[in-house]
Amino acid sequence: MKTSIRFGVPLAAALLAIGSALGPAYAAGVKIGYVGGISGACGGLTHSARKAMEIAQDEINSAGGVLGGPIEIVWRDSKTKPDEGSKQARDLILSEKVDLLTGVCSSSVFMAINPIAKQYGVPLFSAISGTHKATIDFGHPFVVQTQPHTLMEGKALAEYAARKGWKNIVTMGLDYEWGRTTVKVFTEELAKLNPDAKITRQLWPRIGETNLTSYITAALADEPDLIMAVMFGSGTNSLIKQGKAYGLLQRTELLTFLSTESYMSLGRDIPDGVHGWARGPFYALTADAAREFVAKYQAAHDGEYPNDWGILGYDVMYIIAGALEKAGSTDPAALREALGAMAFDTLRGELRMRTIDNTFNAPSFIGVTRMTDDYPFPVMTDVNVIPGDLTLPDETTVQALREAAKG
Amino acid sequence: MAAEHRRGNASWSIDWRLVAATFVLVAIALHLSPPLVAFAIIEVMIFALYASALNLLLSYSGMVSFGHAVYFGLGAYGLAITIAKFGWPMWAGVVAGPLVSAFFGLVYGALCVQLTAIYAAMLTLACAEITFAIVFQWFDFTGGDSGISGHVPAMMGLSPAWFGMVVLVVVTICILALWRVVHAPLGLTIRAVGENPVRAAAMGHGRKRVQLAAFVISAFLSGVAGTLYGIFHGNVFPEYVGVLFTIDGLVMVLLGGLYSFGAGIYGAIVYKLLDNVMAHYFEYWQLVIGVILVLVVLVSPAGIAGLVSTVAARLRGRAG
Amino acid sequence: MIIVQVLQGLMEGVFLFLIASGLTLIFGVSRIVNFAHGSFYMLGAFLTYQIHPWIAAGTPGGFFTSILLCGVLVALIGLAFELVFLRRVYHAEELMQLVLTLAAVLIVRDLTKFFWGLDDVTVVLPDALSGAVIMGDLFLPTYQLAMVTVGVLVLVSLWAVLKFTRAGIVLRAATDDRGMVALLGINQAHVFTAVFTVGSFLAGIAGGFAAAFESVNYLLDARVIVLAFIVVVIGGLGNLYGALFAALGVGVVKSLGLLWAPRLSMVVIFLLMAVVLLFRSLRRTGE
Repeated sequence: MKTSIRFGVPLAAALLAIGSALGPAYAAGVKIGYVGGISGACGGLTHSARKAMEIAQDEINSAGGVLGGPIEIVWRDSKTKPDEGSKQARDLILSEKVDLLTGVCSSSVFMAINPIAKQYGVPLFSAISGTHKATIDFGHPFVVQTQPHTLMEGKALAEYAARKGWKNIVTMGLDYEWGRTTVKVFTEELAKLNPDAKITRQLWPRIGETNLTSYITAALADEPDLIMAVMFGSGTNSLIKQGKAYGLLQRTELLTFLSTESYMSLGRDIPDGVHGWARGPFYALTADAAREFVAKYQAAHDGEYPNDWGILGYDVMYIIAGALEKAGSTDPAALREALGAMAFDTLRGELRMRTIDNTFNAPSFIGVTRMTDDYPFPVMTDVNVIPGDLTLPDETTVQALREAAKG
Repeated sequence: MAAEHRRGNASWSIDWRLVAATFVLVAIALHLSPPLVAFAIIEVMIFALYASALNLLLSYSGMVSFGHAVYFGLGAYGLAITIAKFGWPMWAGVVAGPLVSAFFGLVYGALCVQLTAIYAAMLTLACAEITFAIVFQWFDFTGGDSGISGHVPAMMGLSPAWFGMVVLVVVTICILALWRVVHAPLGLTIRAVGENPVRAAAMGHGRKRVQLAAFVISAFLSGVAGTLYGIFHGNVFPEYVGVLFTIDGLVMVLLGGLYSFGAGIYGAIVYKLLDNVMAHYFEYWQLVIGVILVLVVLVSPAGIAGLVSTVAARLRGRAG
Repeated sequence: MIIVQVLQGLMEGVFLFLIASGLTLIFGVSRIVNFAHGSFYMLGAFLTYQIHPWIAAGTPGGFFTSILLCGVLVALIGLAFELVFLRRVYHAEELMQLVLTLAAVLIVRDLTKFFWGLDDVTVVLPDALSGAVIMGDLFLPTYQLAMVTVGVLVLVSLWAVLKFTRAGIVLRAATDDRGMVALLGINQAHVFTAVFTVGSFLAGIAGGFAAAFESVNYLLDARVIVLAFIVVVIGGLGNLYGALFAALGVGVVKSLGLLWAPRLSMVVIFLLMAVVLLFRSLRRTGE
């Protein structure tokens, strides 16, 4: 039986099948490649970004487009996997010939696409991922960050904690890049802002851990003024849910990441009085444009509200369009120059990008949860908007991190 | 049925015409395809090697690995860490990748062959989880969940077609080598042990030593696949060592058909075809894989390989 | 503080036992490694999320009834899976059982995504269950006490069934020696079917309890199956009482580990798993 290595025939058939299913495409105008976790772990977050970006695309195109043509977005699913993301990004560059890339979501996908943007010289605008590593440690001229990254957020949290005067603090950081860096920056910055404050204990739940009861008892044993929980999604949800029975909110304060989709999924399970931080909470935006956008979004999607990633996605489209218009071409060097030279009117207010690390002075939003009559879920009230200018790392820090990354 | 298949490999010689035809065909397809299709072909080839290496354990040596992604992923980590952290030249990193995998195959394998059946499989799982935890948590060395990227240009800076050629050559050599292993004296011993350890022991073959040899070979070839994957994407992440890549490999082999040499190859083709094509139209393509697996059990325990050989035999019968 | 942590770990351990008991029971009797155990657990969680608003929503009675009902639903699904598919492969290769249970994992996961989407869901606890018994510094959440009670109930009833009923005697015999049961003229297939159904039921109610305890999503299956494997392996595959001690041990290692070695507790648990496996094998060869 020689058949056991007769794999040539089916292989050929398979190749032909793939070949006929997919083919090269061509289009005129500005072409934006979107790579993001449409399915996989990010699926629950990014759908709103996509809807928002489509609204922005329609608006821009019906106002005449940019550079004399319409904006076209090619949607690709990274499945929230770094390997799939890097593959899709390369295909967008090689066969779709996109002028620039945007999207991402998980920081691993961002880190996977980042060197590809550099390798092929295609600008990459992060809309949904907050790692600072892509623009700082491994930064290059083509990568742009439009939301507050980890270093900025850590500093904003320290700023807020100092304003509140909390002294004894337990940190609970998910044991991976985001959790570790945020806790580290928070600790360092708080020591500068409020020398009296001290971290009494550091806890490191594993990512994906949802039974947090023994972390809660360990944290409460210290009788802290604050539990700083660098967690998100199911981690945050489980912490709040399980904390209730221990009287967590009566015995201490809780500060944690609460973007809009958490409010939507937990609903009334989120008690009043949690300190939450977010990157683009629609209900806290005061610009007229923001109110118009939310109304438009709701009208188009059965009254659903956009989450933070929707706000960030909408903003990134107008940033791209504005910069292209000013640059007068899709040439990356001209684009970068335009980005550095102008102010952008975004839903989150007027923002600027600095050129040392292509990072926008994006604000962080920190407030206290409360059930109001305005929405079917709790939202943050008394929102502190901590401007990016206050939290951007200085140039020495940026250079030091870049040197260390080369090591 | 299964036993029949085990003894069914009557021909040990390589059908060179077939190998050459396949090689030429794939090479042509690579050059005619747009990038995304070329990427899919490259993925199929890399995973065909990975799944074939795993198949050496499953089909021939009577072992199940619930953590084979470790040897795949460590190949990519061996490449990345030696280049990015130790400053080695690229060629040295390429050599180091599979050797790192083989080394861990030796260490873990030596432990796992002390046990048998499900107990050994559970030990492979424990080893894999420990490795994953270390890779994920040792930030300074492995980059943690941010991985390592940019240490090599993706696809070595080649075009998809020409990088595909490199992969094609390497994978062909490795799979031919695996064929030799399975059909050489060592392979016969491995199979004897896999089928009936007691009888093999009576013939003087120590089960543990033979299974360890198979384990190391499998780990090494998985490492070659992982190293290629690391170059293909120009990065490495803990996912490559993780449970999803392990399940991918297992599903490919089981889909392809146990106790046949081609299992990994057929399985990789079908699995990656669905992953790359069907996933665009139907989000729930893994459900389809699940249904196919059920059908495999109920209709054709020898998997796709079994179906192919049945059809081929009928065709030949008709032609003859 | 250490006492609080140990107690907390024990409570978590009882829940881990509830998760793992079905898996070890099934393995003990039929030697099936049921990879779909985590999937059944996840189904239990999502079904409870789905039906709890329809059954006296907001009352503890309605809440527990919906969990029980979902346990029964999952048991029926398990029963169907056993009768239609699994039964055919008891005499085939062990790997064929792997293929089937792995297929079930893939199918259940995609169905979960299809029906309930990618977002996290959670069941709001009835007010009567969301408090705690407070003794000085010690908080014993009512709901966790309820879960512990259920865990103990399951343990006691399994023990009683195994010890005193005819079915239990058959089961124990089957765990020790499959062939003998067949020789005694007992229909092995019925025993396997019954045990698989009970195992699925246990997975289902464990999942139901989880739905109100944490935030669940479609990725739950993989995490749970690995946890269950740890407990089952450390306890000795097929050993129900071993699983109990393993579960309690894992719970305590976690709750104390986070104080002293916050980043290593998982590695320690897997090392323990490896050492137990190797130690058992050495002892076997030594005999």
